[in-house]
Amino acid sequence: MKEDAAHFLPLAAAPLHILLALAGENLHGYGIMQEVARQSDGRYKLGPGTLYDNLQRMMEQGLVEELGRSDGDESRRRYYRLSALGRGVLTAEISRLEGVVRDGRTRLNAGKPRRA
Amino acid sequence: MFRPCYLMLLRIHPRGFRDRFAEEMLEIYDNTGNAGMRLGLFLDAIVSLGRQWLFRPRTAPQAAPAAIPTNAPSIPSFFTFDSVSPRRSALTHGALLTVLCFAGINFAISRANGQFPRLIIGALYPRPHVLPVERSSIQESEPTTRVKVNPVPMDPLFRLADIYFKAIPVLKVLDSDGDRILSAREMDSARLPLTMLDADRDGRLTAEECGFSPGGRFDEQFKARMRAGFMRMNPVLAALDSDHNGEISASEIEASAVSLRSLDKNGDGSISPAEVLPNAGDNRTALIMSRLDRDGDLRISRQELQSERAGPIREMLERADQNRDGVVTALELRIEVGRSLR
Repeated sequence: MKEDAAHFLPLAAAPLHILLALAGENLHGYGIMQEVARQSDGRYKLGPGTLYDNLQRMMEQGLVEELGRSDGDESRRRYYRLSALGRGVLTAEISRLEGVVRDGRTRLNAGKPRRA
Repeated sequence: MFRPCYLMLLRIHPRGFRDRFAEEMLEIYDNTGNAGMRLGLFLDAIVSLGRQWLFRPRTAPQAAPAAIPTNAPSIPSFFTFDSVSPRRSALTHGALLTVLCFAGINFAISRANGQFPRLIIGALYPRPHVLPVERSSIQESEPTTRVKVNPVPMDPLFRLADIYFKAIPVLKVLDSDGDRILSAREMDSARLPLTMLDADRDGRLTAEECGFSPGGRFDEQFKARMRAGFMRMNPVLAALDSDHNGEISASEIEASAVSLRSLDKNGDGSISPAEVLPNAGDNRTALIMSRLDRDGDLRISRQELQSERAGPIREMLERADQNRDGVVTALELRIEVGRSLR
């Protein structure tokens, strides 16, 4: 699984945000858009074209699964969920980003001028 | 206002994508109240459209038949094993790469100056039948033709002949097989192609119909001399114009086969490029005569020798006058020109 996940890294901004949005709960397309905007405090906005293009690709890669329409929902919305592979990829990406953050902090601290 | 446009944009997406996501995209559009945001969605759909057609494989499965029809053996059937068509971008890149490769190979061949491996006959010779044929090896009874490729393809003489044959329409039509050699058969059947050159159907070929083009504004008298010079300086035209009146008459066309044979200096039955290409000395002599010989008697008289036109070459003309009679004949001029070219 780890090897499979490493194959997808590093993730681009759109797939990363979509995986993050689906990590909490199953969502439909519009829900994913709203969740992405919420997570990024409105700084990153996905258009439906970008969203569905990425969803299509991620479904082909097995990162996301389509659940179909919700029973109580009469609209045309389909719900999507994170697959096991998608969760693994998201975990691996977060670990990678943590490493980047840790390394960045270490370097910044090392470069700070010391008080006499 | 944008909704019909947005709908149209969704409709022109690839079918696989449209069937799966168009409804949801339209619903998102409908739920977006802000006009500015709708404009953003509209732009997003345009980008998505380009991305889908250019960079994404089309996933719509092909309608494969349940079974290959066996009852129609004469109709060929083609099926692909893969249900995914290649991306448009891949096809575009492939086409571009093919054009670049083709252009590169052509460039390499054209720059190789005959050193390119002789794998492609058409690359070295414009047409396969332009290959120099070892004519002595051909016998009438032989069922096959032996072709000998020169060690150096397109030798300078052949290259020059190729250009010359293209420039002189008479040679172009006479050399029906394009091998730049006038064979006995081509000489025997010269009448018909020569008749075809007679654009005004007056039964004779003028210098213009033979390829003369003065390319400038000259007075008629000078043009007539240039015309005569043109007919004299090209051996094949000079041979055909047997009375040297500056045009090939109907009777000269009739007698063309005999006239052309006079060019066969080595008597091998055909006229090779060396026998048909104009001689530099002859050309220069003809040019000088066309400029100075105003009365067309093929002599430069005392009066013509003193003309303004003769000024730059008067010294050479005086040297040419071997017998010191004050008149330079065409022969005297040719001898002096030949001496100056050495």
